[in-house]
Amino acid sequence: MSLICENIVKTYSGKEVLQDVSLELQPGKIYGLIGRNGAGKTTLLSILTAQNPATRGSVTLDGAPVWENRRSLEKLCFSRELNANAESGLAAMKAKEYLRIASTYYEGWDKALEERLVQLFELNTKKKMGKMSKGMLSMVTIIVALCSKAPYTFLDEPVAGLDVVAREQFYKLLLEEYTESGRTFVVSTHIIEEAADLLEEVIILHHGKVLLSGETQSFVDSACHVSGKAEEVDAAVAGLEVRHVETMGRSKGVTVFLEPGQKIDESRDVSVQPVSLQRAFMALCGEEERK
Amino acid sequence: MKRNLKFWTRHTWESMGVELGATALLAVLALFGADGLDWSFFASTVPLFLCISAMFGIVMINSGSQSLYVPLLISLGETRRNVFWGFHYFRALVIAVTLALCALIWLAAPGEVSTAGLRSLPTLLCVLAAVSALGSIMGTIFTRWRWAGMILIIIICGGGGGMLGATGAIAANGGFSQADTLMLVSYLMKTPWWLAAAAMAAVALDAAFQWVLLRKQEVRL
Repeated sequence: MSLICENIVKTYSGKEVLQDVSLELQPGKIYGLIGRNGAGKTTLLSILTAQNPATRGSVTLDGAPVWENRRSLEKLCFSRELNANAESGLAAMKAKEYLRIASTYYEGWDKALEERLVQLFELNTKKKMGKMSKGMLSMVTIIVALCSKAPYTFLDEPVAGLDVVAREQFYKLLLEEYTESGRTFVVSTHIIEEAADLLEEVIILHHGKVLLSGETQSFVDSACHVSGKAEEVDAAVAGLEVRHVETMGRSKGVTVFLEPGQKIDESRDVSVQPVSLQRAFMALCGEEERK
Repeated sequence: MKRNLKFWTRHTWESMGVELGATALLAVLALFGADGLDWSFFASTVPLFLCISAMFGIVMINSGSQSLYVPLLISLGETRRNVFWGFHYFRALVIAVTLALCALIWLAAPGEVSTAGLRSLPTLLCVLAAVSALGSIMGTIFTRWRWAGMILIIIICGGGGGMLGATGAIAANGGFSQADTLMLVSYLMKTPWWLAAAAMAAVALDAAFQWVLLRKQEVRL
């Protein structure tokens, strides 16, 4: 069972926000969907779960189209970021009501887990969502995502507005749920460093294109930070894919992505350090300088 | 489809509160102007208030349901097709419950008004169906083109609210006697063909308009 999207294009007012996106999401994995603001993450998640139509391309689950297919849709849950501002109709709705409606629509809804999470987050579900803080709304989306028990669960910025304690609770819960159920989770996040250990696979979206989709560890292992005197660094990384150049006087630091078989010339007087997922992401999608 | 029916049935029940609340308010106002309290007073006023409240309520509820519940249910994994049918089922149920309540009242209080009232049910059905379709079209416009929808809602709800207020004022000042109601109902006893045609056209137009937009609707909560 895998969720496949092929050649997805999404256009808004003539502008392509997703350009020929193709992906395969395997069951039983935690994927991280990362990208800068406006990269198209929410749009992609919306299309994968048939919440928004694609301009072109197809999304299938087990070979069956997802669009208007109840059998496929009941295996998917996209707990989207809630925006309960004054203009939104959600503002007047109590969290309790929202959870009740969600429980009606997800067949596998785990009521006991819902009660446990409401208690754990100390969430006042009698409160109207318009009066809830960003963090509280994130808690509601987390509860929906985890309690839905959908085999493919998508979370859009689930930790936005959460304090550090609640964020840790979320990561623990996600891992617990993943271990118990083997569900597939796709988590879109900006807080990369914290979530890095959870993510088995990473999908990097940049300007509406998939820059990378693969194992998180392989991606991180393919990158390293080389620093030293500018001329030594330049010589050590000659012919390699260089990103994110930092210079300070005569010193220089670069992040390098190595293809299989490529090596840094360590005979040079340079320091080679591993990089974190966040740094590798920044090198790939930040203000780059290629050589 | 089962959970869809479950949701919309419950939503109908909750939405009926608005209608019944407005009816109760009008009935209380009518009590001030009533000469005496008996079954005929009850039979001549409450169904009228119920229909007026339903018209107002349907427009309001349709707009709200369209802009909130339709995208919400899509976001929870319901197909657009099921949401479309569910929403129509909800509107049909609101009309059916309203007319059933009117019929029950008329059946419980036999008399001239009740006989006329029962005969006016097809006309009331056409009026409520047309109003419901109008409310739904407005809700769709509101969801899609917020400002245009907002202006329409202000105009129509203003009109509806004014009608509700005027009804309340007449009721409180001794209006809606049995004779008045009888006269009003006598106009409704025979359903004009053009009203039936207009109601059907409004329902068809609404369904077509809604489906075209629903197919392309993007979920924003």
